[in-house]
Amino acid sequence: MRDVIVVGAGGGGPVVAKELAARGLDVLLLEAGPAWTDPEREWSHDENTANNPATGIFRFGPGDRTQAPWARDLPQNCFVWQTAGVGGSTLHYFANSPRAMPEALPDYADLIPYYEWVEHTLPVQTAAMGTKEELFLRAATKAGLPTQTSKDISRAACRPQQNAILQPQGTAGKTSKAKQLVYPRAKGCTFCGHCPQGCFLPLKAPLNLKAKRSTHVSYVPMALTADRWARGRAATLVPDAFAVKVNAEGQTRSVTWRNTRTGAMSTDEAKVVVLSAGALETPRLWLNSGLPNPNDQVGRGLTDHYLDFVVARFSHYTGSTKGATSAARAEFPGYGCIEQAGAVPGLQAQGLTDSNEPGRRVLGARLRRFLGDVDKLMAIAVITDDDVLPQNRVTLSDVMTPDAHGPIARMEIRGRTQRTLANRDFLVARAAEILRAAGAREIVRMNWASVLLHIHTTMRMGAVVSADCESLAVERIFVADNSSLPNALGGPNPTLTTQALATRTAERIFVRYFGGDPWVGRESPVSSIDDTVTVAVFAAGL
Amino acid sequence: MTRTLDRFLPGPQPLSATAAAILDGAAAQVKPGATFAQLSRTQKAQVFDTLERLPVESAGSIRFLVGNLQDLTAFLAYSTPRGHRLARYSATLHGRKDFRGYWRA
Repeated sequence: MRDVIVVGAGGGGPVVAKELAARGLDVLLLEAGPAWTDPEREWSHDENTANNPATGIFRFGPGDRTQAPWARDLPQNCFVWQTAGVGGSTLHYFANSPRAMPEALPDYADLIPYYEWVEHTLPVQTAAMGTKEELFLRAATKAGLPTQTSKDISRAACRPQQNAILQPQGTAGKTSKAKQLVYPRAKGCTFCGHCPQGCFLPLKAPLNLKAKRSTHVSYVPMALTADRWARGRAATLVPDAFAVKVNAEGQTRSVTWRNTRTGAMSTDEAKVVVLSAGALETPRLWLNSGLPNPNDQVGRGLTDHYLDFVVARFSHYTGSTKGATSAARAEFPGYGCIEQAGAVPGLQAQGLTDSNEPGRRVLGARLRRFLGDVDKLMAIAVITDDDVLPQNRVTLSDVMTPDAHGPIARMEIRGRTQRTLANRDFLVARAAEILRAAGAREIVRMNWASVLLHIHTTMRMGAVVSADCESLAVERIFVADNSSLPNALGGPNPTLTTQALATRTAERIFVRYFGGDPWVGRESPVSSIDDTVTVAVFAAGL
Repeated sequence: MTRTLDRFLPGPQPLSATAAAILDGAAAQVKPGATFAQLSRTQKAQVFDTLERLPVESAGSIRFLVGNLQDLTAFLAYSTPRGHRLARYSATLHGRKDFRGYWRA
């Protein structure tokens, strides 16, 4: 019997796996998607190759890309952007790592040491500035916003992102010549502009020293080498393993999974199971397993920050396609956040043609005008503090045919509160002010249909799990992904908070079920870029 | 686009054929006897306008499919070398010269 089985190697699961492996527990980490052995060869900066939702490397589907992606029942105009594979959606995320709005979390002060632990481990650093960030922040200042200088959000203000991207050193950010961009001449972010297409740069850098800190290059390597950099026990990673059932009998928990390449079924037992399959698949797995749902809250209350997109065209260069995709932001407590979002042409075109309203789509000659020079655009993503509504939910589809892993997830968004809509409008107005202050010639608000990049609250703290993220209905089953968040955090991007909570969850598991002592606040964290980790990564052949 | 749709949801009827049938069905309401391809640009916009206003409760999956057709087409078109030329996007490179330092208020 294992000590712990973690289901899902995305943003949250590897955090639990690394922390508990470092304590010497026997941890099995399952991932439905593929493992990556050589991203420099396997990944691509080509947008269609990387991000096509049906055929791309970073899709929600099996590692064998000759096979179809895994289906969802999505009965409304929406776009779900998730990735299966070791690293999960941190492979395509922008790596923005703000803390939650303090007033959104009742135990925010308790969480701060866990934030600090994760911020040191990833690490999270202040974003380097390029042209588009400088333009955004100068305009935000001109529009009356002060600069936020603390990690804790205290007022309406702008700031460089705190992001999980290593700051540029050496030739990084100073040249486009490939030969000069090889590690160690270049370290950290090379300003390539391809955060959504994964990050395998700088070339030849050790796995744990790649610029963007997906869990694939940070927490997973640490989990797999915990016997080397800590006095722990190396976790076992099983990719291509789609969990189909969780059993809870007596004190024993077990997980059954299907090998997506061979179809073979396997089961392993553990003292504790941690679900980290994401805010759509975790409730699906719970419901497919027939686990208790006494208050009918599993899957309910989905929030997604009801994203919107405001894009401006300029007569001058903005550097929209260069550098980290998003490296500057502004926050408005009580409303949400906005962030500058540069993108290469395909994603920029997609963002300009999506809307809830047919008439708002930027098409034809207008699209050609907007995209006549992609480096004269500035886009701002609107990240709304949206409310939990019970009718926005994940259930099991009774419309679409079950796949090899059981009935598929049906995701319904049936309403928004007046407060959510008002928050979104407020933030759009602030974005437009900044764009005007920056000298925009033409501004469009897309009124996006639901674009689900931040998917949370479907296994909500207080409704489905406790403050320790343990199931209220079944002990020894925990949740460590965005689904366990109690609300939309007031608007900030969720990954850092999920990772801080996952760290606390790991600690609570260790104390409650393995008789250990807590460590956050008592010990110093080891950074994933520490030399001891680099040596361990080399020694393990990662 | 056909490849993307057909890979997205395989089945006895390719998804691209379903999408075409939906567009043609709505086209016939805009101009009797016409297929979508035979419509003017304005009439094509009318087709999308009609389909995107269908009630979610009865036509949610159609709303999902139709809602994504245009932005996926734009994504694919601007991901090609021709799209890059239209956008004056130089190339996909391993790095750029755009690092300007750190923000000071």
